[in-house]
Amino acid sequence: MPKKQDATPDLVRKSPLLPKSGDFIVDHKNLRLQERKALSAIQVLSFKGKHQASAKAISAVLGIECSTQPGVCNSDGKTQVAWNGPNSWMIVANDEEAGRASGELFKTLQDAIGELAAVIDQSHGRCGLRLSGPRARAVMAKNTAVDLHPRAFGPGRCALTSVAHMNATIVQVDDAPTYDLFVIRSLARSFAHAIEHACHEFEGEQ
Amino acid sequence: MLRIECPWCGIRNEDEFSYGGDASVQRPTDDASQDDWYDYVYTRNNPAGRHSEYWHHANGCRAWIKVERDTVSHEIFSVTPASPNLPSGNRED
Amino acid sequence: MSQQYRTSNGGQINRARSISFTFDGKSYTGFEGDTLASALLANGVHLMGRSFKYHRPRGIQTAGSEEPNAIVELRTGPRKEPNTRATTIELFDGLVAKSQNRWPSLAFDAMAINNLFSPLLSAGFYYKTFMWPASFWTNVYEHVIRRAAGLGTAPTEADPDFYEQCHEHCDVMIVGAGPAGLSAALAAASTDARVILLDEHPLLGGSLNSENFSIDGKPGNEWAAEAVAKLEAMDNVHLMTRTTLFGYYDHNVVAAIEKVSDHLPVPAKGHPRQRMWTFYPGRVILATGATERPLVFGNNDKPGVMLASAARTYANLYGVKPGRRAVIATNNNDAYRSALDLHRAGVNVVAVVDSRQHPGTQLVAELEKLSIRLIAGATVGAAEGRQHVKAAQIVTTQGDTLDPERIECDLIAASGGWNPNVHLHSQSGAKPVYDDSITSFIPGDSRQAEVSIGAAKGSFSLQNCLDQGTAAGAEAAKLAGFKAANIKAASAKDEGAYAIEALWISPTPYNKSFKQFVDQQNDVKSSDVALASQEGYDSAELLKRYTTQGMATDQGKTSNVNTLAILACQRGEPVPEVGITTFRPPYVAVAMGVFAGHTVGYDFMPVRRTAIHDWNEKQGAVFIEAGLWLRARYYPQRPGDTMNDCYIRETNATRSNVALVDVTSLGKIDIQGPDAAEFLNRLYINNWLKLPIGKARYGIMLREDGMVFDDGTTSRLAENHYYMTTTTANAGPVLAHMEQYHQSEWPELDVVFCSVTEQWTGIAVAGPNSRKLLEKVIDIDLSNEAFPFMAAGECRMNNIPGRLFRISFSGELAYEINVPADYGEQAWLELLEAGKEMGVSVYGTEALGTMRIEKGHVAGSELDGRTTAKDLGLEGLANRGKHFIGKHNSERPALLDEGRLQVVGLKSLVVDRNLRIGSQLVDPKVKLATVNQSQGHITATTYSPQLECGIALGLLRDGASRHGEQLDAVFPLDDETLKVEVCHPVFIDPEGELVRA
Repeated sequence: MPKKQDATPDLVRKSPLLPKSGDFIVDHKNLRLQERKALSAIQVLSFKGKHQASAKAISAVLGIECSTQPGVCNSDGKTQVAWNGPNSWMIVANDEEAGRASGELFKTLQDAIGELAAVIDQSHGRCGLRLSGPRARAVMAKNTAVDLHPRAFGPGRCALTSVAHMNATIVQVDDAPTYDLFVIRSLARSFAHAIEHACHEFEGEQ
Repeated sequence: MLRIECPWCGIRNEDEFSYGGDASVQRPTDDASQDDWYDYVYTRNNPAGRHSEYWHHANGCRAWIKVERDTVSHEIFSVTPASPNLPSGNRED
Repeated sequence: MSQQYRTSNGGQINRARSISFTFDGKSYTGFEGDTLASALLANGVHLMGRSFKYHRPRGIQTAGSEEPNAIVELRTGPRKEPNTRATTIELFDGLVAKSQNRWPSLAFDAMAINNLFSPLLSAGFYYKTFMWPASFWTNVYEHVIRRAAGLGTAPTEADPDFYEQCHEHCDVMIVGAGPAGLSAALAAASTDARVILLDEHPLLGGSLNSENFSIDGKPGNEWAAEAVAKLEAMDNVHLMTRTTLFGYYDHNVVAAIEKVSDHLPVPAKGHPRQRMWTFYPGRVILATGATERPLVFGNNDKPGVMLASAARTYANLYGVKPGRRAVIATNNNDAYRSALDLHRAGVNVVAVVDSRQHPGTQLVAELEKLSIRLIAGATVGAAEGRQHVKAAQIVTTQGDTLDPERIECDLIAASGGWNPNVHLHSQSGAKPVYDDSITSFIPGDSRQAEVSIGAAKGSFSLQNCLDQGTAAGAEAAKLAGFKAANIKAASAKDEGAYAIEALWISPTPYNKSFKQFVDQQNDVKSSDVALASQEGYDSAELLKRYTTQGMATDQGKTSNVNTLAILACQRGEPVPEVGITTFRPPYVAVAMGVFAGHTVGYDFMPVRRTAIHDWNEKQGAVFIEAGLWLRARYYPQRPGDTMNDCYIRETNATRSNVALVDVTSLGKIDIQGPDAAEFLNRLYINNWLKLPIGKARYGIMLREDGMVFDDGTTSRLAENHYYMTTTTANAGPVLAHMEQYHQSEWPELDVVFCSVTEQWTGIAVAGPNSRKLLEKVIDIDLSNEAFPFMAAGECRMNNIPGRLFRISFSGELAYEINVPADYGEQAWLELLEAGKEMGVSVYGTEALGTMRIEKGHVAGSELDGRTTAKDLGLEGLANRGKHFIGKHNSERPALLDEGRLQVVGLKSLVVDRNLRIGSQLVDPKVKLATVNQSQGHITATTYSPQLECGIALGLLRDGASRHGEQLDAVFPLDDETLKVEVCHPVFIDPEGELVRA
């Protein structure tokens, strides 16, 4: 069995957003848009009758309350546990920030709840963007019909919806406001372009 | 534009959903007659008024739902999950 | 002299800022705050264009968006916009406008001869005049009519500006910021409800800006400005100017257009020209006001004839005298305000002509005080003048009309009464009702969460507007769940009763026939209404379509009620018997660009790119769209390479050596759970219960009607873990199908699944040397014994984790490797590097298609929704001893019929000629005259480098038993007939020795 480990280059994750990956795609006074790079995104689908048990097990293993409430995303500031459908969560973190090795989050969850739920690695299948600043809500209003007004939405909330005509998950991070937007990787460039376009109006603001 | 209240996600625009056909028809059992299967696929009422229909929250939580809708006024009377087994998120499951 | 009709003071214009503009090539100046119409009037320009059918000279009728006549071509070049209303265009520096529909010039229009031939162009002329012969339509009528009648011309260059769309939610939306709307906003906003107040004008206040009202002891416009300032300071209020609500839809969704940059020479950087808003209000308050209707008298379309309220708006709001000698004609008290305001502005009001016998004594006294002559019981029978009004012919409304009194004037300001703007109410699904006391339609019962107030409800007194606004604002907020507002309505001076007496058509002087226009934009006259009625088109909806009344860009805002009333007179019935037509969106003309929003150019459609996209692009690959995906179609290697050169080279390289293809776009679904196998068993026609771990199987899914839905391989990765692939096209539909059956039919199954298409980059490695290549980089034993055909398992490619499948679409020894997508490009490059020494190459979807046809694999063109598994020769895969979707209906007798179209292979018998998709297969003895003689058709074609001839797959009647027959492949559109031979659809390696090698 031939093994060619010697000549192997190191594994480097290539962002679907290159060449814009890493830089601020938008950097205005009232608005910033940047990729959240190299994320772990683990989808959990609880088996029949195991939803509450899955939630408890996730809460226990991550130390973050995993809510069964639709539209809730709890976070410890590094790892987000976002409601992702009637029997599903998406658990998202930047491994480096969260102090985990690559693949560790998947393995941790698989070990902890593998009997209760399907644990599916979507880390390479999602692109994360962070939109932040006083104009962020105005930019979102150009791209989604979901009401993000502070009375209807806020930090700790998430929504599965259509953003710029593409399926996406919106997670509100803070009151800046800051939104994390997750979209499938193949659409990353179209998606980022649409959001960037919606930001132009506020470019000249001082 | 219809506004449909997904039992999980709340009120969303019609364009997040795709229509899934008549929810009043019952899928026959495997031993049902050929005629029953034919009716199931091809025979439909076309009521002007109250109608039960499937919608799929395709651009949202991916749940299939049953919507009771007036086909004339578009008034929606009720929306319920198609599956009795999906966790509601609001009750104890 | 410039602006000779400007008053010496007054108006809400900025006299310190002069603005220059051109109209029909001539330069003028106006002031900031002017509209194009007010600036032209200030310069004494009334003639604005020629009418649609008769090319009659037309001027300015109104001072708002209801304008039927003063439509111009605005700007030049790519920003040119035809059919814009001069009455709503805000003046900006360098504005260029042009009159429309005139040739060679506005003052002398050759087509005005249509005016003399008007009997030809009467109601229904399209239907009557040009019946036959049909050839005349394109050759004669079309040209003549297009030149003679019509509106402006569209720009020929691309629009340099962009448009966008926006969404907003609120508790209470108030449409219209006049006295009622402002009062409603103040009340609703005081409860902390989220309030949106929008208005189409640049200045909020509505009639408070154009009338001399007084509220709470202040001038109306000052009160409005204070109310606006107060609302602006509240963070629960969104005030929007230059925004017109144009559509009221189901479930209380409404849409508006915001003219962000139309008042500027060019939009500010990054700003859209216009923005479409979709609002989701809890409650809607329609404070949309009322529109004055014209009086229907002879030559009532002459420049110099204007609505009475428009005349005073020009004086009050813009400081413009719309004429020097004015006659006011009315059937109600409201128009007396025009007499007083015009008098105050310095216009000589020579007479007020009131059709009522007994105008109110207070009004009579007021006119007397100003020495303005009042003629009661009389009206204007006709206007005199060629290009402008010279005189009004006054007739009595009762008795003798033979001997009119002639009054010289250059302005006839006429009021036929006021029509509440019930358009949005009607669009919401409600039915307006006729109110005899105001001789017009008022809102009926609400069907959605909306209420009309103020003039929009037919309440024309200012105090009523303020009161109703305050009450409605508080009530709407309460209904939206907020605490009751504690706010008092402002108080206004009583301005007396409205006291209208209907006058639908004026008597004509000398009993002569004059053109009395009802719909001025579409040139519909009172006589057209009468004619239509006589010919039996006497219902409101029929009349509208027959005469085209109300179907121009103004949507009949000034003409609808007059038309209905005249029709009622014709039918000898009261107006409510005639009813009212349904108003439909849009309320105002909306540019198409705003519906497209930002989804043009790069953003026209979202594009899905694979991880190998950049590499493909660098190689100069030619792409093809597959749904939203961009896939590499072929790879030109040198200048002049055609697609044929490429796919033949790529196919040969694969079949003789080894090559890679990017198959990322195939759908991938991860399925887990104790009932996963049972779920698959019901989805597919095949049996899945005995598939071993580490094996893949090709499966067929049917729809419930028995037709094939999709195909693909599904692999068992672990005890309760399966990995399904679908076709690129059906990735979405298959997942939705699985979700539907799992949720609505089989919720008892303990199975979960989701799309993992995006997680994995798929690379197929095909060709006789594929094993040799993979052995250099893959860490598992790839020998035939250890990893046979249809094996599946996890592996590492160098140190990239992946999944390996021994499956083949090409018919060669082949593998498909999946790696996490962020490593996709790296995996691709490492495979190319490892295969360099053996001459590895790449291929695109064109070669992929060639090889699948040679191998006889069916794909989308054969899975066309009309073929069964039996038709496709795949019935052998079915396990009919179990239940599966589509089982019963696939057994219907007609679907088992021997005469059905079945998949076959076809070889071209003509050297160097490829077959053509869509060609019909016919018996060579029969000439193809009708499609009935077709025995089938070709679904997919290619040149086969293996067979060295054109080959195809096709669907042929009873095809499975006809191998060896010769047929004609006929393509009638190009008059092409090629001889073909029917054969087995698998052209190469029928025993499958290659894939098992």
